[in-house]
Amino acid sequence: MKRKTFVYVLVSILILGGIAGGLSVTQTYAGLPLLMPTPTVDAICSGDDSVDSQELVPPPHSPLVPLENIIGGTVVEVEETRIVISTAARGQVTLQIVPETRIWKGKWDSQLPIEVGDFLYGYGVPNEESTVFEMEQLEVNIVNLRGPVSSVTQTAAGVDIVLEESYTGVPTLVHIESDTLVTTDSGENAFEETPIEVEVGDGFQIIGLQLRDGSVLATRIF
Amino acid sequence: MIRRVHLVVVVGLVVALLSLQMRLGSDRGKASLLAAPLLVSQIDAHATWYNLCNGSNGACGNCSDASVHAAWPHIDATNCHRDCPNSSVTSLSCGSKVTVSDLCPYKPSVEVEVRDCCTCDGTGGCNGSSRCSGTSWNSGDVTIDLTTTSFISLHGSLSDGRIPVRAYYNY
Repeated sequence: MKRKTFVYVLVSILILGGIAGGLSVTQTYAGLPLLMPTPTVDAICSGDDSVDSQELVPPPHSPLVPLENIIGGTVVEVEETRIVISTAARGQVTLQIVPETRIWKGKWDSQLPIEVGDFLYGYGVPNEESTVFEMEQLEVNIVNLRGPVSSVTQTAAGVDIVLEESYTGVPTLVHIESDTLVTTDSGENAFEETPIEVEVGDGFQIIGLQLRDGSVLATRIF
Repeated sequence: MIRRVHLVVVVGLVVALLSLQMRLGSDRGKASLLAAPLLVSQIDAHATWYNLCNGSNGACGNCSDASVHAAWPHIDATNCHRDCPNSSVTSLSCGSKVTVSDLCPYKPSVEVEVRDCCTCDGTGGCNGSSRCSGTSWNSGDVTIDLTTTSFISLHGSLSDGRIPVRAYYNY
């Protein structure tokens, strides 16, 4: 009798131990994470901007423009609807200009001609060999400068400044004119509507058109 | 004899039950680990672009304007942090991945590789606290500087210059 009781107790302990062990394994590896909330797009977009760290999965890689469609280089040949550029990665590439191609040179559809020596960035649909692109968009001679102002000169059209570019240290003459867009926390307006006082030592970011003499016509300043 | 048979049957059942429980727990664990959230740092700031990478330069080397590369303001290994003392982001190593999303509606997004560090001399580069007449006029610091290819891939037009983004890093 004693032996039978002992066996039953032992078997009961084994069964209970097995169930408890199984539950423990399940909970440790699977239970808790399944209870965590999954972030939603709304929650992310409407959240506090100052959030530094959360448990999130980064959004998937979903570019606006596929990498293979992007092209940039220096113009070596120009015809009416065809431009040949020299690129670092692909050698010479032909860009076909179609009526739908958007072109920025100082502004969109400025009608300024594209010339040999211009540099450009854009995107379009490449052929199989990526030697010919039918272009959707081109931005020509566009530059982005950041740095402190080292001199200021008032002009009839606005103001000329010399900017010490932060990366290169190269001083660049920048022309700010009446239609240059000025971006502030309160919005974006033309320089003539928002005349700002520029002083030596102020820091600016300038988007502009590089001119033949190396100076830059500012189109947008931050 | 019968007792022994009973004992063997009961022990066998226990072993089978244990195996089933462990298998169930293990499978659920795998599925959950795959779906478990990663610990990701993020910051809402501004992104801009630059075009100085030639394929062999940059603070990390091999920075290419034709690739989805970027400059980050804080890379301890290259001493970049000395130039960005007020950077609000933590240090990343060369080759780290950062996912940058247009804000909002939370897309498109591109994953870029850190191959360079931004310059921060107090008025430009990744510091980006532009001032006018000595007064800060733009509160949105630039956190990441994208190559032209990265910027076009994310946003399309370089002429917009500076765009609000959410950057995901440390993953």
